[in-house]
Amino acid sequence: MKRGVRIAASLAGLAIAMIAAATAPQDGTDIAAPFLVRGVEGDVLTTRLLTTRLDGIELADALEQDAYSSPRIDTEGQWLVVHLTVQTRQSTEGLSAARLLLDGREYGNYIGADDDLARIQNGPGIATSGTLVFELPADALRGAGAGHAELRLQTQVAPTLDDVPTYTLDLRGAHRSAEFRIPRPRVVEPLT
Amino acid sequence: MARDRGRLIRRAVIGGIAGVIVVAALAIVVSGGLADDGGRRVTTYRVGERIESGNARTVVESVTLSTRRPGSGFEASDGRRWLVITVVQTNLSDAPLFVTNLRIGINYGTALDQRDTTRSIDRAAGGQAASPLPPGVPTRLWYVFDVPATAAPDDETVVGVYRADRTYGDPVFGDTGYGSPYPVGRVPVDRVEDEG
Amino acid sequence: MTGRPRIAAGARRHLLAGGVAVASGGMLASLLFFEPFLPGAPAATPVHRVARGDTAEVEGSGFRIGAAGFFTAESDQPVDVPAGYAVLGVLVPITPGSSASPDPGSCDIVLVAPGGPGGVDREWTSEVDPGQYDYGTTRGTRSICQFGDDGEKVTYEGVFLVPDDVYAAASLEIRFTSPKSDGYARSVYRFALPADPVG
Repeated sequence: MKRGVRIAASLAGLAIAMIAAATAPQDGTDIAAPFLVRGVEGDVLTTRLLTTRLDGIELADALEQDAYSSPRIDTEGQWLVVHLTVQTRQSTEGLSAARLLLDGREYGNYIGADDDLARIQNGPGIATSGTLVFELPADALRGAGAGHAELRLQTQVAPTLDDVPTYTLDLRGAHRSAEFRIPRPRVVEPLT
Repeated sequence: MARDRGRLIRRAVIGGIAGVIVVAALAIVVSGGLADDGGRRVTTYRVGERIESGNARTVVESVTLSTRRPGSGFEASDGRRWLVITVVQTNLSDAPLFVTNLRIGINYGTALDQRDTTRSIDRAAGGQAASPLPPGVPTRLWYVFDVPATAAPDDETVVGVYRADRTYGDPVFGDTGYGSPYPVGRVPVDRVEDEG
Repeated sequence: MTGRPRIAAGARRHLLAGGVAVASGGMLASLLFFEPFLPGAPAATPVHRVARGDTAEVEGSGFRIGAAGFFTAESDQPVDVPAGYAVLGVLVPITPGSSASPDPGSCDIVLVAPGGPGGVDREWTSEVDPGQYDYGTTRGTRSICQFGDDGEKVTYEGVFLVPDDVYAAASLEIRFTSPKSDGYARSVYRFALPADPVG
């Protein structure tokens, strides 16, 4: 080949390589992000591992429970109580890694309550109703995003490439009480 | 001939400079870098003062000695007492923060320093878990140490405020590793409340 | 001396390169095509199917399904579960033989049925507190799978809370892990359930 053609081909190859490197995905998070299966209160959402239904939300200043060691759980902020019915599809799953996204911040469900739904380990096809609780700052409802917070029912902390039931919540209209008594989770009729 | 010598001299000079640089670099690396050794210059704070570092705000409120554990009221074993440091921690980041990142130490007796695991951390407002700390909510915690009844500080009582960075793993389950704790403040305490 | 016509040197090089290209390209194409049919690594855990009524011999002890029951809120012996569910009870007599090993390893018992997402089997573990459903366990049975101690025959009782339509397709799976001396080898035995359960 002519020398000029060879040089041009090499430069073209170099240019392609540079473009590929420059446009390569910068970090892995977007590629490996979870798939969000969306719904609102009352919707039954089905993902690979779970079938879930959001039954309601409410706010409380303190939690009460039938635990000798900790009958009352207080906070400087406020408690968001999420009523859920959850059914697994293959084996047992835990919800200890559930997340609430609000105004750019991420909250994890409080894991120090005795009877929360996160501990339930019923087998596939068995629907269990109970609650998860999230501790939020006192001024959480004044943010612009309070009308569309996102509840993600993750079974693990980093659910890459898996589908996650995601409920949009309007916190502004939620009923508020001074105390909420955490109920024991109970088996209810199947969701599917 | 002259050219060869010139070349030789140039090479010797370059080699010498390179050697000096290498030795200097090694000396810096071995001595721990150009930054201050964290242990020697830690800011002193007062009880009640805000310490902000590493995504959290820490306020040391009090130190108490007691035979009854706060919250549960459990009695300490014979010859032992509960040494409790009350601290308010606030997560300043945008994601859940685990209290294992926020260590507290105290120079009370021979066994208590930041290398020693804080014995346990109780949530003063109730609940079985101190973690996760949600963003923006000040949370009062009891850092509880089980000490001999005869324990006393060497000189003045000083509370150490430390941070530890998570190095790998997920924060809820799984293998979570933390780097060595580094100090972000020291808080001398005038009086330790002795509740008997 | 050079009587026969020779292939020109340049053409020889091209022929060689072409040959290599054809050989490797052909190999690649055929590998891509045949990859699914290549023998894979042997399955790590052998699954043995045990027919209805049969006994499986593992580490010198015999395992079989003694009896099974399937109870709903509507049964003659009802259980306290919502509509759509049943309590499946299984009795597994474990009989040590004359050659039973003193250290036979461990076993886990789960109930399995097809129908999970992506073709994976569903599985249930035994209830820790069957009494909450008004299920009365048989006296003397154990709730943990254990090989007979000291040559004693024991009966394991599994109690599973399941949807009320799984019985026909369900099997009882016993998963064995051999002791350290056998390298913790795993094996799985799948027992067919009786055709006519109690309840």
